[in-house]
Amino acid sequence: MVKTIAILAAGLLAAGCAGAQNPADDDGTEPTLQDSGLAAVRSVQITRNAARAKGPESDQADCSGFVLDEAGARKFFATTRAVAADDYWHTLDWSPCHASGTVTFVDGRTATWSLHQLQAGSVVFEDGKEIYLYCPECRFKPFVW
Amino acid sequence: MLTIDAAGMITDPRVRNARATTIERGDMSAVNGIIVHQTGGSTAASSLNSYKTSVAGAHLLVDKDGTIYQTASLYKRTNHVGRLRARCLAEHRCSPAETKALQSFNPRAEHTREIAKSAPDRYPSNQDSIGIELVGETVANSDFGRVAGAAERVYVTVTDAQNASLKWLIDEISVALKVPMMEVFRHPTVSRKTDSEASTARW
Repeated sequence: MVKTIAILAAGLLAAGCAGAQNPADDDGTEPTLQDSGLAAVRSVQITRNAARAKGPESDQADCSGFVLDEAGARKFFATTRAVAADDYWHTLDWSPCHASGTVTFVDGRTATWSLHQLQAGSVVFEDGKEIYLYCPECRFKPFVW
Repeated sequence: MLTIDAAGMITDPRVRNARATTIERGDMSAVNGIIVHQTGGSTAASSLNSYKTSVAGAHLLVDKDGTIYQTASLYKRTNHVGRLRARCLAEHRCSPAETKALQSFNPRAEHTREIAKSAPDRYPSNQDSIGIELVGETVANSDFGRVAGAAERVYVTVTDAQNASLKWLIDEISVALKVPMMEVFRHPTVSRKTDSEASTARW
């Protein structure tokens, strides 16, 4: 009984923290995280690495250190959370340094992906559906956190 | 001169009220800047719909035909900026201690140092800036061939109608809220964002 009450109390506390953040205390620099909904990865291919976006400032960036290997990509997809498009474009940092490729999940779905140095990116499925990803727990190189 | 009511809403026939209190994050006691953005979605409707459930968004939205929507009170904060970049770096006035700290690339720590400063020593932030969104869209960057995802996209060109509305809004807001024109920035200037966001905005 006590255990049940404790679990309920902990659940309510967690729900309160997640859903009723005081707007006045919200710095607005961390997005709301959601379940990515991605199945486990069956296979992943990296087609571009240490790539650099084009742009006046991006052209100055040294992206040679952003080399993602298959194990790193698998770990990212296994750990990542999803974020809303608004949060991806507004809230999260962006880096011109990225890697990209294709991925097949165990549910049979395939997608193209791109991930940038600051722990974020997206997957685009064959039907055009895109899921924006952010992995604050991906504190391993070549990501920067 | 722009008329702003007690709730922070612009009362002008050019501005349509589309307030979404869901994106308002508390009172904004001072307005020290204006940040110009572009949306990732290609229609005003997609932004207006997302604002019903999102906590991220800006105060004003300008459609491709120049139609202006006010989506949040000008007296309320909204989350539209993200983490701040070091302003001293762009303006070549960092102290030796800041220069040393910046040698280690750590955007979170950089933001923490910046937000402890007062504007205009730092860039305007979520705490003290008005955000203006231009309906945009991100599209394939032809430099990359097959596009794999969001990291490889660029923003479309801002329309002439949007730039006309943007100029009017910035002129009016800067006078009404006493925001210096020097404190109006494109989003990628103040935060780490896609280079092309609002790069063709003019005011």
